[in-house]
Amino acid sequence: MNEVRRTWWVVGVAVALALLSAGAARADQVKLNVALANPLLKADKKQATYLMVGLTGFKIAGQKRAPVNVAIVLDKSGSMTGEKIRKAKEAAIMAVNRLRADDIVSVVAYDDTIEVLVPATKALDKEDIIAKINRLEPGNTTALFAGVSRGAQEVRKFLDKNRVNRIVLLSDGLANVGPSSPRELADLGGSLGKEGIGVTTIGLGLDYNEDLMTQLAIKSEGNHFFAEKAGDLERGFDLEFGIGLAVVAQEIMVRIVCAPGIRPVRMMNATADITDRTVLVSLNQLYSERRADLLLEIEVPATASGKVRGVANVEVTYANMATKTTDRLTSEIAVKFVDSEVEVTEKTEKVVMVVVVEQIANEQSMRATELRDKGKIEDARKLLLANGSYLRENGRAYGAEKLLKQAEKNEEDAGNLDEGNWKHQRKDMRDRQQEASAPACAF
Amino acid sequence: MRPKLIAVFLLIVLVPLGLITWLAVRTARNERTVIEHKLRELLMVSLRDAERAVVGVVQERERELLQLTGAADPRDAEQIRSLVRRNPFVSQVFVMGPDGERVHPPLAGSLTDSERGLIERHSRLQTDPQGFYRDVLAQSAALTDGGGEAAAPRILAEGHRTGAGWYVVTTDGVPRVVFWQVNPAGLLVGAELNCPRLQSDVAGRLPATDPFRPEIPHGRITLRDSAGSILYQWGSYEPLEGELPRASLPVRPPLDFWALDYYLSSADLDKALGGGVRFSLFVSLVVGGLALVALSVYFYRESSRTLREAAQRTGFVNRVSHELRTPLTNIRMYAEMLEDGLPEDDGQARQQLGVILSESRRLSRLITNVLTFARKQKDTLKLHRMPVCVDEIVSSSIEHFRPALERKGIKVVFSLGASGPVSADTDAVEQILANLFSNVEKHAADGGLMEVTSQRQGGRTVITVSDRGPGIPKDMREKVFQPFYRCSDRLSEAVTGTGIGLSISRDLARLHGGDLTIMPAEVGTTFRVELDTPHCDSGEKA
Repeated sequence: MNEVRRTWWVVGVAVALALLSAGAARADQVKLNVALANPLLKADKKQATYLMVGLTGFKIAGQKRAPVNVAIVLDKSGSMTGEKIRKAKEAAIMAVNRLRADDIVSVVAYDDTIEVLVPATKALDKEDIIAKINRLEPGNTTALFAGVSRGAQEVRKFLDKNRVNRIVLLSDGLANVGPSSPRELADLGGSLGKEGIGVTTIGLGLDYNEDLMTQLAIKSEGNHFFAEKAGDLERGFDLEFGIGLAVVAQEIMVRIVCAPGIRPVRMMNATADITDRTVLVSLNQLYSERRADLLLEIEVPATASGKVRGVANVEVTYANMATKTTDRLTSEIAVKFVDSEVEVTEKTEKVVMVVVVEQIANEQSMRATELRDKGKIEDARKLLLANGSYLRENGRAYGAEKLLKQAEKNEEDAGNLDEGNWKHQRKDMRDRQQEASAPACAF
Repeated sequence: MRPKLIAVFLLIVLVPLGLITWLAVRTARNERTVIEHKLRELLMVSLRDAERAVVGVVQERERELLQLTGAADPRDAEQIRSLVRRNPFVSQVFVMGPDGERVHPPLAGSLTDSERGLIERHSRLQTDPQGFYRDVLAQSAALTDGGGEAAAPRILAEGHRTGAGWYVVTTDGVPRVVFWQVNPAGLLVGAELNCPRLQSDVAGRLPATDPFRPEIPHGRITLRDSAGSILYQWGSYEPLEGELPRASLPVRPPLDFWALDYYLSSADLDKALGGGVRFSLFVSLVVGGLALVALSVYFYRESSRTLREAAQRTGFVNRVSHELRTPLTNIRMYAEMLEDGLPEDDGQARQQLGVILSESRRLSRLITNVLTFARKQKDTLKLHRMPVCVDEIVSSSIEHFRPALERKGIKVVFSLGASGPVSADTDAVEQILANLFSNVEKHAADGGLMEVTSQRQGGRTVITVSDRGPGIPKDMREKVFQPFYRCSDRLSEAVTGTGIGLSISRDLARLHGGDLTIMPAEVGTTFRVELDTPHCDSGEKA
């Protein structure tokens, strides 16, 4: 196997070189873009800056999305009575309707026990699947963990790298049978993610445990939707099962090795293994024409003016879904030290800074959520308002419409922290926070 | 008479019914025990199947990890980290040297967040690696794939360089399951399992609940941890709060902090446990009870009919006797009047008339006896005491009988000593004496003598009637007083009698405050009549 891979690799590199020499980037290669927030840094000062590793999925002309292997896990617990179960069925049917004949689907329902409505099968007889979903009646307590486990088992029956392997969990997220802490669900999500199974969680109603649902989604690199948010669900399903985007790369491994003297502080929007100067991040998939931006905070030692210092070597390996090869990309980046602050500011990379500001603002938003959870409404409000100004200021500075919108959102958030709105508000915030923390965001 | 009869019949019905019930209940209970035992065995079979599925997950991990930990170079931190990054089942890995020193996570250099987490969970990796190492080796469970019987974990002595096992330790209330293997270089590689993932795999492997084709139709199997919280469950029955399982099975090590419980609905359990037995018991009880009731009703009706018929017969005899008495009294009266008016010398006519008179008196006595007996039966026998002279009654009775006795050659001797006026019932005394004299006439004519004595003893009067007849055998001396008893029933014997004479004589004597007994005598029979006859002054005047 290794032999074959190596051969492929050699061939791949050869082809890449040939194409590069022809003066054109290869069409079916992920684009790697490594940039610093500040290509110029103030001399003689120990400082922090940000390194962005951007991956962009290539376009596959005319090709449809990869076939999916999805387990739809439906909560039919007693708490789902009424509007929620109706909405869950609607969403599940929405998902089923978007499937193609070569997709694999299974449907699992749970209350205190697990019922396999449709064992993993080709999505040929949608009518039958929909009829089975429609028959569901809300019952008992909520064995969410077992429901997801059974869904995973169904997905594993046809686990295939060439498919998008997914569990779609539709629940009000009140787990009470089996493991039910966000921590345990996160561990499960992490494990499923390693297998290449993403869990997309869809929160129904206003009572669900958004931490549990978002943790499960984040750790497995799935998505989280808040069903109350109009259009969110449809957009998500369109993306995952519908017209959708092709997955161009899987098993993406990003290795950032910092140059001596440079200290990696933290990865801001992904789970990373950081040891000494090495930072490792693995991503499950990259969609066609979509970006995944990893943002690493680094510490740069004081350096004399005029000097150029190597910052990091970045190596990316991934399974290329178009060519069925394991591809490797490398890049390195350096920073120059100058005396002039003005020069440093002038040369600031706006694209990177927008991501940096977004991530910092997101962290502040999470902190505000924590404060609000502790009942410190006033502190949370102040923090969100400050966050809003921070976003607005930077949005203007970098001419980023996105940041200005987020500034408005944060100010809106600040006004919705009272008891009456908080339930809904918290879910909305968690939803946005999850979206912002996912590097390989599909949107 | 009736209530007694009803009580007897109730007893006849209830006692056997009770007995049958008791036996049936006992049988049913025994049968229930047997079925319960069998059912428990069945439940245990299901639990053992489920346990095998649970352990199957561990066995799979075991096989994979044996390969993995054997293949990676434990001294290469990067290889270990890569393994942890890729393997979905393992949360972290540690490596220890032959002397218990920590090799991984490395002591030098920085650690990943996940590695720091491992050390937080197993703080002895930092503070007391040697002790931790010893514990891992000493307190581990053997591999589940050890070919059936779990051997004790191989404790590594000096020079031994292989071995593998499961080490479970609870930190922060959560069991951490560690698979370890010692490679040929003497390095111990421990892989801590991702516990939620393990639970998830187990949950994915155990049966789901199909409401249309249920795996266990009326039961519920739960997998719970040592704290009692449920990890997974299946089956459509919902146990009640606090309900006890019908069968339990702990999962074998290393997952011995889990256990499987089987719950069964009581209604269905009862059905399984001999609804049949209970039904047949019920049916047999009803049938048996009905049969007994029918039988007793039949007997009751039979016996009450017999009683009714007997009463009717007695009533008939009674009525007939009454009807006979009136014409008889007339016959006697006119015969006596005829005798009085007959000339002294008309010997033949007088003799013939004597026969008519004595026979009609005999008939009269017979009727009196029958009526007395009937009254006695109806408890309406009463005395009519009057001031009388007993001797007068005795003499008149003797005079009445004398012609009949003499005809049979019986000589009458008497000595009377009870002449004072006393309170007594003339009719009763007459009836007693008549019965005794009649007895002598019938049974002791051979003796040719009847001796009668009377005497007063204080307020009592004693009369004896003796004969020289064949006597009464000792063993029959009491029986002759029973109604309808006769010493001999032989029809050829030319002796007549109804068999009630002595019986009613004794009844009358007893009613009169005395008794009628048979005195011991060498020859013949001596009856002794004792009567309570208080002295009566007014008697003189009357």
